[in-house]
Amino acid sequence: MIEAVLSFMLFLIIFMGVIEVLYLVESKLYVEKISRAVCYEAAITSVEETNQIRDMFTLQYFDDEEERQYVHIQDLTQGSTNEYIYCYVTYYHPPFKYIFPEKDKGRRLIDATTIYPRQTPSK
Amino acid sequence: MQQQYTRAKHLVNDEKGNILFITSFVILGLFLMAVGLVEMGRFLIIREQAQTINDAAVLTGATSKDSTQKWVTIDVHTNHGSYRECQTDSEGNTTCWCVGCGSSTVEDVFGLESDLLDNGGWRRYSLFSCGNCDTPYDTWYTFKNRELIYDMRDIMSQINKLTNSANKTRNNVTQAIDRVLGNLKSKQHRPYTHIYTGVLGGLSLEDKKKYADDESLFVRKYVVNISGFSGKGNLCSTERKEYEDALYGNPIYYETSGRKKSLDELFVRYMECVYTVQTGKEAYSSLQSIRSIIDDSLDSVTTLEQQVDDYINTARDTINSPDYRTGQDKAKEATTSFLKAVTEVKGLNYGPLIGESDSTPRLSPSDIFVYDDASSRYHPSVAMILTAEIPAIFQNLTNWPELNLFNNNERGLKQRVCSQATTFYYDPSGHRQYSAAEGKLKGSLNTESVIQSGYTKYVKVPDDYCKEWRKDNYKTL
Repeated sequence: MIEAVLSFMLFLIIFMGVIEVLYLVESKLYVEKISRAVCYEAAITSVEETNQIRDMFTLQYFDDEEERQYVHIQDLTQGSTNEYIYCYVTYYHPPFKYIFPEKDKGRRLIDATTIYPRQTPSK
Repeated sequence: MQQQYTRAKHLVNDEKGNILFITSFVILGLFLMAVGLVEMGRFLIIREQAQTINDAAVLTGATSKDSTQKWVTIDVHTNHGSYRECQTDSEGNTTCWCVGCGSSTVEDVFGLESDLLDNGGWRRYSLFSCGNCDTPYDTWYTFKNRELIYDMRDIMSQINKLTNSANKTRNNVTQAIDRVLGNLKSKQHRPYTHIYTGVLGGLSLEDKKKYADDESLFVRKYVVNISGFSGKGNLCSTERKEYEDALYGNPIYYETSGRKKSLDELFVRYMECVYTVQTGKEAYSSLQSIRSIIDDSLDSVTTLEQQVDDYINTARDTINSPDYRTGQDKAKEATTSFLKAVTEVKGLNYGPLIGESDSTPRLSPSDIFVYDDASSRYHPSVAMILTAEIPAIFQNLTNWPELNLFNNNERGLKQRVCSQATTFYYDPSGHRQYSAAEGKLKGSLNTESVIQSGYTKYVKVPDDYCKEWRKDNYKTL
């Protein structure tokens, strides 16, 4: 009997690990896509309005207050030049979110860095 | 036999160790699944990163200023403004009015948008000002066309047209000056406008200046060519001689030019000649007060012609230089150099594998297409197929040679991603006229509607290359 329980526990742990890997992959893909979209929009926007793109994306994509606590788009003027725009997006992935829904149970940082050529606003 | 059967039956019925047996298989299955998931997850992530890098790289190529240049054709108009004339009457009252100097246009000015419009280079083609009386001096450009040029060799014929344009401008300016000289109405100039136009009208700008510089030349032309007196020797010397010969020879008749004239007639003619010379001198003197119009316009046109010559020579030198590279080459260079830089920023390897492999994924461009031909349906854009070679973490577990997924002895997955970036530009109708004096768009079009409609309308959106590439390459999936 005890072997069966221990085995079941082992399956469960491995299964949870697999689910967690899937979540991590999903989160990583998520930040990668966000950084790409933010960077593209920022690249075709004038230098002065760069950070408006950041605010716009934050509001548009993370309208949920709880979601906004996990995703952070870094100040787009940091690391950017007149030629390139540097985008750094981080996502605080809460491990085993489905078991520990409280946000402070621990976080894993997932990030994505993207560089886009800055475009001169076209006429 | 019976004993063996009993032992086998006992073994089958014995459930001891079953859990271990089942668990081992399930754990092995789960482990393999986890390995697959990790590999697949990593594959998806690298593919996504490759897509990001590829998107950024083609955008660099499509919009790099060195490779894809926006060229524009504009007309530069100059309203020369108006000249202020005043006169004071006998009672000391001064009256002033304005004389319009007309306008002229430099047509088909062709050049880089960044130079002509962004940096205000169009003002080089603005011509002289003769004042800001009732009609103020103004200069503006009218947009005609905007196009993308990848290879300067394609535009030499258009650049050469600038010479014709400069010639036309010279004619326009020359005619504008003739109009001004004929329309002066002040007391100072009114008596002489017919002399100005008679002597200077129809002449080239250089000749106008030559006559305006030299009083004797000016007066001689007026006296001889306009008024019909003899041009032999000094002015009026012939008329004087005829009169003196008649006076001291035959006092009644003197034959001149096949017609007999009286002494009085000869005297009158001589006096008229003297008076004409005097008038010519006065006209010349009066002309000096407005000759800046001639000098300025000549300077403007000469500068313009010099600029056009320099521009054409520079363009020719650039094209004939052994170092000349087409925009297509430059676009490819810009794309690959950016690709290389960003790949390293992302912590991936760039280029085909040389030497021993490691577990870091490797990106290398398979194909770069620069659609610089305006007749192509993908014009104007740059597309790139990027190959991502992703070595497996668990290489020994992913040895599937029959799937042909391996490269250079690396066991892993290979993925190709496609990106296309458009060199977008807007319809020139949205950017019609810009006035230097008013500092804003000018013309019949409403300013706001110009900005709203014109700046959001693309000239051409190319077909989606990647959509078709995916259809062709992944139709079997």
